[in-house]
Order: sequence, then C-alpha cells, then structure tokens
Amino acid sequence: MASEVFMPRLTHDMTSGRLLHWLKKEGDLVSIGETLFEVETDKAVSEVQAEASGLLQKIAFQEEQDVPVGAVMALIIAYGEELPVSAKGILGKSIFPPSQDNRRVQEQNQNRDVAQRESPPERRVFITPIARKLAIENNIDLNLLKGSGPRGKIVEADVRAWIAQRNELASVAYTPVEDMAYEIIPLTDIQRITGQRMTQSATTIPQFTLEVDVNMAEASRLRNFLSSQLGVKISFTTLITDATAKALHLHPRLNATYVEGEIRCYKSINIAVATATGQGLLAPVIHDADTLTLAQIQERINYFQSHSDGKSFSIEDLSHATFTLSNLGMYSIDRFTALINPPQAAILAVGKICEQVTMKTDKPLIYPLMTLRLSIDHRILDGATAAPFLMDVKEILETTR
Amino acid sequence: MSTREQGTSPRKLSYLLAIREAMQEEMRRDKNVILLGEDVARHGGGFGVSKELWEEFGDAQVRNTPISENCLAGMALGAAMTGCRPILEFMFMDFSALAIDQICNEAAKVSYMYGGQTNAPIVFRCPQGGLSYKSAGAHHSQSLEAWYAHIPGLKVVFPATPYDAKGLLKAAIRDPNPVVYIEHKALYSTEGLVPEEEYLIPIGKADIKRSGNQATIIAAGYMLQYALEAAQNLAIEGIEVEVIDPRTLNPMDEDCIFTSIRKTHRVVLVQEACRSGGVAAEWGMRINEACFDWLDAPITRVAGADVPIPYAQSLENKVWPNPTQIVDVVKNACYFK
Repeated sequence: MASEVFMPRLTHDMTSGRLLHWLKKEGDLVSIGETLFEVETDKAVSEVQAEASGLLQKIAFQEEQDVPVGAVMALIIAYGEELPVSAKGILGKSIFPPSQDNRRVQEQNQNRDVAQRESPPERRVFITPIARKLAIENNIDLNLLKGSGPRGKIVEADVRAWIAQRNELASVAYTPVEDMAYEIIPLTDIQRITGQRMTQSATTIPQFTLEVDVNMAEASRLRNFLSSQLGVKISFTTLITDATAKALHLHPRLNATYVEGEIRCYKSINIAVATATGQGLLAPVIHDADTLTLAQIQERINYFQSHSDGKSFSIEDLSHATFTLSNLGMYSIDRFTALINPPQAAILAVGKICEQVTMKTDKPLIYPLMTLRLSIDHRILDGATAAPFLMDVKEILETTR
Repeated sequence: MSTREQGTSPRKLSYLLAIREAMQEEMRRDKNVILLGEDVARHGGGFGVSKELWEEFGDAQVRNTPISENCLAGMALGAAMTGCRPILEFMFMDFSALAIDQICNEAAKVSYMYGGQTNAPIVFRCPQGGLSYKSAGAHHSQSLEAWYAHIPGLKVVFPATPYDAKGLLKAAIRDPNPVVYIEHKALYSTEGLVPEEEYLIPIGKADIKRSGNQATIIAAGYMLQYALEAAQNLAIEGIEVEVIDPRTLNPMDEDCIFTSIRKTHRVVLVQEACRSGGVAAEWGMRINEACFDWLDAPITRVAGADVPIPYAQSLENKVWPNPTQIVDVVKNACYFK
C-alpha cells in the first residue's frame, strides 16, 4: 500500500506550514518513525516522522514552500510495490475528507431556515474492525476514543486502554466491603451513557467556573406581570433560557464545540435543558432558542416536563445541542458547578432565588438574588472571553422589558 | 520443524533425499507407481532427485521421455486412467506451461467429466523458484503455483521442509486425483529431521511453524525460511509473531489460518511469486471475508516484483522478498514505532 506523506495539523488553528527542509530525498529508503522533514508554523519548528516504511517517492513540494494542512507531499511505496497509477492525482490534494469544509461553505450559503437544523458536522471516525467490534461490545462511544494508530486511527489497543481505565475508575468508585449487605441497582442505558460522558468531561476537559450574582427583581416582575395581566405562566427557566440565547447571539464563541482539535462555532443556538426524567438525567434541546418567543420556549419546557414520568424523547428532541443550561433552583440549591456536556464549550448552572439584603443609598434593601455559574472549556475559551457573555446574561435578566 | 511430527527415530535428511525416499517407498509398496520425465532414469533427473531409482526399479517403473512436456503429460494421464499412478517430473516448473492443457483441461477434469468412472492419480512434480538457485534467468526461476491453484480439480502442495516434503509426496502419490507437487530448487540441499517410520501428511493441513500472538505471517516454500528469520528478529524487538506454513495451497487450511488471525488480529502474507494475482491475494481475500471483524490492521503482503526474473544477480536480488522487508511490513501492521 502506498502511504501518503502529508502536512499534519500541528496546532489547532494551523492552515498551512512552511516546509523548511527535507531530511530524506526522493528514492531514499525510510523507516517508520524516521524524521522526513521539518516544518515551521507560527508557533514553532517541528519535525515530522514517517508513518510507514518504504521508498520515498514523488516529492511534490520544495523547501521554503508553504504547504496547506493535509496536502499530500510525497508517497511512501512498500517494497516490491509499483507506484500507483493514481499517484499523480493524489499529490498536492488534501487527505482530509472534503465534507468538513464543504459543510461550512454550504452552511454559509444556504438560507438560515435550512441551515439552522444542520447538525454539528460529523467527521468519519477511522477505526480498525476489531477495535470497532470491541467498542460496540463494551458500549463505548467511538467519539470518546483517541486513536494512537497512523493518522489518529483508533486501534484495538486504544479501546482496551479505555476499557481498562473505565474498569479502574469503576473499581475506585466501588470498593466492596465483604461482610456488608448491599443492593445492586443495575444502571439504565441513560445512566451508563451519562456516566461515560461525565467521566470524559471530568477527566479530559480543562474546565473552570465563573460566578455572578443576578438581581432577579425585574425578571420576577415580568413573570408576575405576564401571569397576572396576560394569564401566561412563564417559568424562571424560560426567562433564563431566553436571556442565555440572546447573550449567545452576541457571543458566538460560547455557542461552540471542541471536536478533534477544532473549535466549531455554530450559527444555530440550540440550548439543551438538563431535565430529570423517569429514565434518568436527559438534556432535551430547545432548537433556535434565540428566534423563539417566551411563550414558545415555555411550551418546549412544558413539553420536556411532561416526560418526567419516563416517556421517551425523540432523537430530534435530544440532538444538535450547542449549549446546556442546568437549573437546580427548584431543588433549593443555592449555587452549584456543573460539568460540561462534551463536546460543548460551556454549561450554565442556575441556583435558587433567595431574598438578599443589600445597602442601597444607605438603606437596607431586600431583593431576590440568584447565582449563575458558568463552566467553560479552557481549550476553547478563557475568562476574558467568557466573562462578557455572563455579564450580558445578567444584564438581560436585570433589565426592564 | 514441529517436534510433535518428528516421529520416534528421526535422522537428518536433505529435502532432495526426502523426496527421493518418498518415491522409493511408494514404488516399492505399489508396482503401479511409475516415474516419468526427461532424463529421470540413468541420469537421475535434472537435479539428481531420482538418482538410483532406475537401478532399483528398472524400465518397468522409471522411464525417460522425449523433451515434449505436452506429450509427456498426456502419456501420464493415459497411464493413470488405465491403472498406473504416475509421478511426472518436469525439469523446471516453467516448462509445465507446455503441458497445461493436459494438466488443467484433461487431468483436472476427467473424474468429473466421466462421472467418477475414471480418475487421474497423477503427481506433477514441479521444481520452481529462484533465490539461492541463482542466475537461472527468466525461464528457469519463476514461481507459478497460482496458475494451478486456480483450477478446480487440482490440488497444489508446496512443502518447505524435508519432513513435509516426504510426507506430502507420499500422500500425493496415494491421492486418487491429480496433485501439483511443487518443490523449491533452493531447498533441495536444506536438511531437517525425518523419521525412519512411515508417515503421511494429509493434504489440506497447514502447520504452525512458530507460535506467537501479535501477528500472523503466512509463508510457503522457501519464504517460510525468511518468515522464520524475520520472526526471530521481531522477537528481539518484542513482537511475537505466529508463522504458518500452509503446506497445501489448494485447498487452503482455512481453519488453522483463521484461528490464528482471530488470535493475533494482524496478518502479513509472503510469497516469492510476483505480486499480482498470486496465492497471497487469494489468502488475503478469504481472510477478509472470514476475519474482517477481527483485524486490527490492513492485510498486507510481501511479494516478488511484477517483472520477468532478471539474469544479473544484482537485479535478481531486488526482485525477491527478503527477511528485512518482512520485518518492516510486520512492524507496520503492528503500528510499531
């Protein structure tokens, strides 16, 4: 098999690299792991190693040339193998599947109605047959696995390592004491998946939390007004969802996912609302929340709550979330830190509203206070980027409408 | 060689003598077993394999023939259909091309065409290959097993050790249907343990020549030696490979091969013959069909180049696989860095 030598993506935002020099020349025998060339990015100079052994053939780029990420720069031909007839057509082209970039262009071109329901683009997962079989048998989400094979291909060893790590975590969490009686409660599918995703979140995402207090006087007033004057019952969750959607519209960097070293910012604002159901914790989605009225958001939330008895959500209900909101106010929790729902960039945790006393122009003033905590993925965001978003959520909630 | 097969009183014997001993024993056991070929009588055959047989068995069982392979194969077929069990020696397998009509269109099909009323118990002995048999040129160095492995009605065996050479030849002579028996010229002088006692090796049974669990190498004939050498070098680097000698190329011992791959999850196929359309392609396809869900790496092969075998040794050495290449390809399959 001819193996392509290509420009790797060395940093997340790298689009091309300057080929400094070849350490091997055309016709050289190379072994797997040997350095082929040096590349300079805006961050550093790196060496790139051969992923296969064989004869280096058809070098398509010269030193000091800028090479786009993914472009095939040469081929490594196995022993006794002929240069493939297709070799010429491969050189210079990108090894990455085109779907990614096309999808983005498409999304930009298509009108919003069509594009807004477009799911986050799926990248093909390269995985060997035995690894796939093993992952399915062990209920492992392929998207959680990191491949150690050529070009990040997931191989059997990666799945075995994952299972071992999972077992290790399980054994730490559960240390049985021989003579104590216990009851075994089997995990539901949802619990198992939640467990996997939260383990991934807690172990792989560098996340931290920003906290802000919100004066809910205006929001309470609006809620009472809608209820008493118009007879429309609007919950605080709805008001917070609405404020979050509006703020996300102003800060698209928060409406993002982190997948395979890429930050993907979405146009559609699809807010998942963590909901306790008879089946376990689920996060049904309010699609395009920024385009909905309060009544429409409330309708969705009522619909979600009607599932608390264990009725199933549709796949559509659970898909395409770009941001998650978790409200434990109704459980009288003052404030809490939520774990990010991967691959999303952030999650907003909402506490209960309680009476707070403050001094206003030398007089004690009692007002309803609510604490928001925003957990963010530090690979995508930093405090300076996320803080204005959180302040906008606060401001929208505190402003008279 | 696996010790379980060495018998109780093994002695060292060359591959060439093991073949001769198999013919000798069978000709003594059954007067209908006859040897036909160019210079097989007084001269003892092109490579001396049949030396002393004419002296022992005379014209009744050992016959020289004219240099006409087609005629010689037709004669063997006629003799087979009328009660003999001919062994036909081609001087070089390359020349069997002249007899291919008799072998593939007649001998392979008579039992079928006549509804089992007649059959053709012929052994076509075919010396093939190059390597240490050097500078024999484009007409005397080829590996042509794939031609015959493609034909329903022919069995194709390719022993790699003296032990297997003797046991498989005796089984081939006793088989009621035609068997293409390939002997590698560069193996004639190699030695191995062969028991005094009689034994047969069933056609269609592969042999695990070395056990391992990280990758499987399948290699027949002379390539087995290279595969074992590669396995030894890989073990030094911590990769334990299983080496399977199929011994019979058609029918393939799927059970043995599939079991190994379902254990190791990686397979490298080695053939001396040129790459395109070789037996390794057939092995690879069957493995893909049966073991896809067990594979952790693409099925890869090490094979000869798709060129006529050159005369110049400097070029010749570049045409055939070597142990270093096998080591590299196995490492690739193991994602070894």
